[in-house]
This record gives sequence, C-alpha cells and structure tokens, in this order.
Amino acid sequence: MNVSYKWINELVDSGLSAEKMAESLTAAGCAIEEMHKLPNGDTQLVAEITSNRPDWLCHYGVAREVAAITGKQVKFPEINITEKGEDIHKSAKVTVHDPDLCPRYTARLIRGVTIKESPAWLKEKIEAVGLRPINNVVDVTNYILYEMNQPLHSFDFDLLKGGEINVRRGIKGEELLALDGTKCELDSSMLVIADGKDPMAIAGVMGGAESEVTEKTVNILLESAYFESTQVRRTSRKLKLISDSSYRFERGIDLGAVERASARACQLIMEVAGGELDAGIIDSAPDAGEECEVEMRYNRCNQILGCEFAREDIKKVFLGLGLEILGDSAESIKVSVPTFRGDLTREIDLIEEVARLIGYDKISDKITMLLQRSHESVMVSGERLARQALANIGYHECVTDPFVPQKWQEEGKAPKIVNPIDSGRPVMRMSIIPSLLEVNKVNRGVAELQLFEINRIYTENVRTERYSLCMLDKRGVEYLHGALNEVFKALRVEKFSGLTIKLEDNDKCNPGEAIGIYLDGEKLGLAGMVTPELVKRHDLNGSTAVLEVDFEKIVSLPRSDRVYHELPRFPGIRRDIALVVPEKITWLEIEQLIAKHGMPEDLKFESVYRGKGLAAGEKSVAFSFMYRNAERSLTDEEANEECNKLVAHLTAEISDSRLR
Amino acid sequence: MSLFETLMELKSEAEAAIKNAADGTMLEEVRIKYLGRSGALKDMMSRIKEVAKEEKGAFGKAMNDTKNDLTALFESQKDILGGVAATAAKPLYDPTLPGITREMGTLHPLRQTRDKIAGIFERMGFSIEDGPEIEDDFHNFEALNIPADHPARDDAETFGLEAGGLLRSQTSSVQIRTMEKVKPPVRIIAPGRVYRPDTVDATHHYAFHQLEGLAVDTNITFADLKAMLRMFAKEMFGEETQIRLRPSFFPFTEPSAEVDVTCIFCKGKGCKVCKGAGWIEVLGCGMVDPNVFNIVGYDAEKYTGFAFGIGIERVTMLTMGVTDIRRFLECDLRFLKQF
Repeated sequence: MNVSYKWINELVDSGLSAEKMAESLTAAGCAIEEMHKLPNGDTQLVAEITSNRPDWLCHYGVAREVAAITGKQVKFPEINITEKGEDIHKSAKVTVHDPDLCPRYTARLIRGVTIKESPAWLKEKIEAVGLRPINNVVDVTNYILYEMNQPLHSFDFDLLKGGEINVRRGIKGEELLALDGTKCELDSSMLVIADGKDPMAIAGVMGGAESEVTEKTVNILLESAYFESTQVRRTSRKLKLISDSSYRFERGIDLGAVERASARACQLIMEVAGGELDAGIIDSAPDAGEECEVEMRYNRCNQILGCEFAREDIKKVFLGLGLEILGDSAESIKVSVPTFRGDLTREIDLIEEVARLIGYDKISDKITMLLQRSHESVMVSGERLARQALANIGYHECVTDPFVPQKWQEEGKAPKIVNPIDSGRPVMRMSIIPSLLEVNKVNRGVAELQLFEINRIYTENVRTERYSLCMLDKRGVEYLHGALNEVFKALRVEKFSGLTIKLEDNDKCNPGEAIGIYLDGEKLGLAGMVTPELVKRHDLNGSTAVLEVDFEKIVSLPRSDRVYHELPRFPGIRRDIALVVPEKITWLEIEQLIAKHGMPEDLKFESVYRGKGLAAGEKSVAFSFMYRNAERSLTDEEANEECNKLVAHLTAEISDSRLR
Repeated sequence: MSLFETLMELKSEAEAAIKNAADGTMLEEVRIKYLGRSGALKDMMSRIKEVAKEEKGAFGKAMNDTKNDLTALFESQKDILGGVAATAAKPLYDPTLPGITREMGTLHPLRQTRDKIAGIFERMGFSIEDGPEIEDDFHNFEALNIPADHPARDDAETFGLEAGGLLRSQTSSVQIRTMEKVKPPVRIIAPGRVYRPDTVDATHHYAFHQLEGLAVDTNITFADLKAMLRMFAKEMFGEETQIRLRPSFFPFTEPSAEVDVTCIFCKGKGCKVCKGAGWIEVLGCGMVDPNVFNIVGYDAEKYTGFAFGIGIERVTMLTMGVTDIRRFLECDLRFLKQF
C-alpha cells in the first residue's frame, strides 16, 4: 500500500514530518518499509499492511491511526450531492440472488457524463499512490478505493441489457472477457454481476470488457457493494485473477461505508465529468453494518501485559481509535466498535490496542515467570553426543537438501511433492547416502573426505519420517565401522558389545564389500563401498565407503552410568600372538574362541598379514592382550605358560592354524 | 690391606674415572676397565677364595653393591654425555613449524547456531521438543488460528505431498502438538526444518530452519516475554545488545510483535547491513491467542502464554556474515571449515 504523506495531512493535521510520521506508524504496527520523494514535493510512504488491518489499505484508515497516535482529529470531507434526475428505481433494477455472498449492493445512476482526462489534482493523487491515470471516471473510482477502501465499479449503463443488475452465481458454460483481457470461464461457485442476460463482472474481482466505461459512455451505473471475503478469495484464486478490489474484499472492507463511498464517488464524478444524478439509491441492505460491542476487564489486561496502565490512558487509547465508550466500571470497560474496525471483536483485541498505542516500550520487562525444570530427551542428548564425537574424530557435519532427484530413489516409492519448485528434485529422500555422495562431488578435490549428517529420511508411508545417521569416508569401510564404535562409546550404550557387523548385500554397495549392522539381531543399518553405478551417477573419483544407520534406534538404547573401577595394584604382562589361520576364519570367531578359553584383559586386534612366508589362502592375525594377577606381580614364566595354553587351545580349535 | 679395603679403594678410583670421563668413548673405556667382562671387578670376584669362610657372604654383598652403584653411576653419566652428544648430532629444531595434530571435523554452521540458541533457552528452563515435518492442515494452519480461505494463508504457501499431507511451513505446528500432549506448565523450544515454495536465491530457500518457543502457565505475561527476549538477545548477540518490539500480526498470537536488535555490526549507529536503521529484525513473537488455547483444550481464562519464532538461517547469515543461503546445503568443505 502506497501512502501519500500530503494526502494524510489533508485528512488529519498531523504536524508530523514525513519521517516522523513513518516512524510513528511503524511503531504502531503499520510498517513503513520505504519512503520515496515525489516530484511534486509529496512523499510516498510504502506500507506493509498485515492481513488483520484492511482498514489501513486506504488513506482514511491511515489518517485515523495518525490521529489516534497524535491525539488529533480526522477531518473527513463533507459529502454534498444534488439529485436532479428522476427516481433511479424507474430506470434500473437490482436483484441480489445470493445475499449471503453479497450482504450489501448499492447502485446509483449518473447521466450525461463526459469521459476525459482527469484534472491535475486528481491525477496527482492517483500518481502519488503509484497508479496510472486513465480517465476521469476510472480515476475517481480508484481515488475512492485509496481514500475510503471501497472498491467501486462503474458500468456503461446503456450496455446493461434491460437496465438490470442481477447479483447471482455464474452458470457453467458462461464466459466473460475481463477488463485486463483475461478470458474467464465461469461456474456456479462464482458470484457474478449480470445484466438481464449475461455476466458483466465477476463480483469483487474484476469488471468485464463488454460494459466497460469508454469515451462513448454517457450514462454510468455506479456499483458500491460488499462481497463476502471467502467467496471473493476463492473466485480470485480459481480464475488466477487478482485485483486491488479482490485484495481488499478478501481482507474485509467497511460494511458501514458502502453507501457513503458511493455518494462521495458520485459527487466527485459529477465534479470532474459533469452529468446529473438520478434521485435516490438502490440499496439491497440499507441497515447493514452493525457496530460490535466488546468488553475488556482491567485485570485481564494486566494479566496479559504484566503491568498496569492508568485507566485514563486506556480510555484515551479507545477514544483516539474512534471507539465509543458504553460503560466503565471498576472491573471493566465496554466499548462500541465502528464498522471500519472489523478486527476488534474480542477482549484480547482491545488489550492489543492498549499495548500497541501506549507503546510496547512502556510495558515493563520485569520477569515473574516461575523456574521450571528443563528436560533433555534421549534424542537431544544422543544427537549432541554423536555429532560431537564424530566431529572430534575428523568428520565434517553436513546439512543437505531433503528434496532429491527421482532417479536417486527406487521408482515410485519416495514421497512425491505435488508442487515442486525445482522440477529436478521432485521427491523427498529415503536415504541420506545419495546426498552425501553429492557433497562428495562438490568436494571432488579433497583426498580424505569424511562426512556425516544426522537428519530425517522419509518413507513411502507418508506419515513416517525417521532420524538417520549417515557417514561417508573415502578411506574405507573399516574407518566407518570405527567411527560408529566411537558413537556408541560416546552414548555409553550398554549393549555395545551386542553389535554385530556381517557381510550382507544391499542395493547401494558392492557385493562382498557390503555389510549389515545388527544389534541383538535387529537391523540398524548398512555400510559398504558404493557400487560402480552410484559412482557413475554421482560422478565420483573412485569409490567411497558409506554407512547409514537408524539413529532413533541407537539413541533409544539404554545407556550405562559412569562407574569407577579400582585401578589394578600390580603390573600386568602384555603378550602378542600372531596366529596363521585360513582366510575364512573371522576375527569374531577368534575372539569367541579366546573368550571360551577365558578372556584375558584388554584383548586388542593388531593387524592382518598376508604374503611372504604364508601360503595362499592363509592369513596371519596378530593380536595382543594382558595377563594380570590381582594379588601379586605376575612372573614372565607364569604369563608364558598361560599364553602357551591359549595358543594350544586356538590351534586345536581352528584346523590348519599355527603360531607364526 | 684387607680385600674389603682394596674393594673400597677400587670403587672410589672407578667413581672418579666415571665422573671424569669427558665423552662417550672415554666413558666406555672406563666401563670396560672396571665393569667389563675381564675388568677390575671381575678380578676382585675371582679373589673371593682369599676371604675367610665366615666373611664370604659379606664380601659377596659388598661386591654386588659396588657393582650396582658403579653401574648406576655409569648409566647416569652416560645419559648426561649422551644427551650432549644427541643435541650436537640432531638438526636444529624449528619451533615455528606447525605442530602435529589429528585434525578435528567441524559442526555445520546452521547446527552451531541452532545449538547456541537452544542452549540459551535451555539454560532458562526450556526443553527441546520435536514434531513431524510432514504435517496436516490442522496442525500447520487451523489450530494456529489460520482458517482455510483466510488471507493469512497468502504468506504461508506450502508444499503438498501426493499421498496427502503437507510439509510444515512453520515450526509453530510443534506448539500445537505439544499442547495436545501435555498439560501446562509448558516451556519448550522446537528447532526444525520448515518448507515454503519459494524460488531459491541468495536469501531464500524452499527448505530452511526455524526455532519456535512456547511458554504457557498461569502467570505468564507480555513483560515476561520482553524480559526473556532481552536476556536472549544479550546472550546471543552480545552484552551491549538492546531490543525493540514493534506491533505486528501473527494469527496465533495477540498482541504480536516483531523484535529488532541493535545492529550487531554498527552497534546501532547505522550501517549498510541495517540499512542505516541501527536495528535488525530477528524474530517474531506474541502472547498466545486465546483461540489457540481453545482449540487445544487449554482453559484460556486460566492460562496465558507467549510464543516466538526465529529463523536459523537468518541469524547465522547475520552473525557469521554468510551472504548466500545456498552455501549451507552445498557443504563445500572450504565453507564448512570456516566455522
């Protein structure tokens, strides 16, 4: 909404500079976003009007606000019309078929106008609000729109068949060429203004070209009406036709000003275009527009705002806004709200007016809230611990686009967006792996890339979204395995040792290099080296390892408390063993055999060796551990004896194995 | 001279020789002479048969002590000399070389901002809540006092899903989900991703993050809201920061306000970032509208509350000086490593 500073001052003698006016309006909630100096010395204030204040969509409304702020009075121009012609009812007929959708419709008839250029004063006003002058009659209707917020429509009366106006629903198959050239197909969901036969305008949205006022127009039927907001909004959306008029009707105009705006428009049209007015007005609901009564309890106002304002100040606010005080007691104040403030219907609305106009800065900021316990959920703490642990060991956290290309997902499974902005990314991701591969592509030059993301993934069931932990490591799967261990350690997951990793194919990783991650038999996720197909799709330099696990399952695992264990009093003796075993023997099997024999302290896998000195199909697995006696120092001989027993046990259990 | 006395003499002679050895070579010669396989001590040991039978034990112990003492002295002297020799042999250490470390990873700047904001409110008694991104019309609009066909929906276009539902356009939906779940008092923050069908440019993205706050109790006022936000602003943007509340409109709060903070770059003097205003808008807030309480079944007469919402991207761009929102999701390491 463009506001003319000069125009406002014509309506209220504000005594404010343009800058001060902008500042005061902004402080009252009518945000002035920009200011432009105009060639005629005026200043245009560009206001961003929130949808609750349609009354600010005109100069009269903004002037009322300036008056409320400054304590001045609004001077509204007096309306003076002379009705010289015969009774309008003799020539024109208006029937409102759907009063629910059109609570009020008025028509006046002006005969013998001359359509021409507007006088300078009118053009200046029209230009000040950023519009282009068209002709005197159209300019007057726009002027009234910006002065009183009343959309008007002028019909060339001689083009209305039968001199009739029918406010009715459209009929399927009817068409209308709108003023802006849009061809509109009408239907029964829309409200139209029809003459005796055809639709001439779409109610509240736009007039039709057929009955448009042109240079040839002599007689004008002027419509001033109130159309129901939802109806206008739906029609405007359906036809993709938005106008100054529909914008205002959607938000609600002043039902009480419909007739007054019509009179004022007629006065101005006759002033700038000549002509004579038929006597009277056709008004479908002359009594429409009841004032609303609202009561505000003083203690409720204090309860909401947290401070007490002087009653006199509160009354001053209400009076300044043009509210009439109907009653004032020790407990409450009752006001009558004029029709131009349709947003004030509840007690809270009045409390807001008090806060707004006395000033948010006048409200104390003394805290009275009580202390409350802050609770940390397992998800919140789990996410924090995991993210920090991964960052600590060199992984970079990513946040990536949840919308992905269709080809990243199994066809038809991913949740599809009805109205994607980027047609290349029309679905929601079911895995973060492709997203991190895309980040890998961005970071093509980085040799040892380590990434992770904890974020949501979505499944084909529309209501399911889960947190997933995804990691990418160019160095290999074993690093991801290690990193996952660190996450478990950071979370102090009790069942940590119950984690099993096994070879298991999946659709993203190379067979034989793909693993499944299980906890107590329940699948947590997968990892592996990505397939050549993925490598190609994501334009990668060589393959990379990825891992994705169900993070919600991980955070919900029981976590152990921190418990101190007494430090050993006697030194232990560390022993290393390199065991040559057949390739198929896994570390897990060796570990289990050692445990069966009696688990030594601090068993550590060291390395695997293949090659010189070993036969094909053989590998040497080196590991170390500690022997300790809790009561005394252990001797070398004792440790050796234990160790020899263990080796004997292992070589007996594993066929074709030997000490290296 | 008894053999004991000879031993003591030999010991002091050897001690002097060890101490006087000027370098490793000389020291080694001394070691061979006294402690070597055919050194003086070995010689003495072979003379044990000259000692009387009852003194043999004592002599053995004396021999042993002497050997141990000399060996210890020799070792320590060797360390001293060796240290000198090593220093002389090693190349010069350059202390200005970069140290050796295992490089840490980084946390994403959007997550850092989220954690910082969340931390401030957690310290003031707020708990973190979460809610679904795939929402329904009720939680994203209706329950937030935004009825269908209301112009307020103009500012809140959403993405729809073919299988039904929509992607939440604001984290305010978590307010509703929380109030449906628990009775007052409520004091939560809800950080999360929201979606709006905006064309992507330097300052807009269709997927971005917000952090919502909600406090409901029998005694919560606009003054509490102001106080809380003032404390937040100082903790977040610095001790000097002032806040300013401007009346605004959100369908689910009344009174509503936009909150400005004194420009973090010019401290309020006016600069390019704040367009000369000295203030920067950072969040929206207000007192929970009674209609919202009615919808979730809270007694709107008994309870009052406030709510606020902050844009994570916006705050991150402001505080870290990021000029293009698209950098966040791209995750170029050269970008991530800056934070």
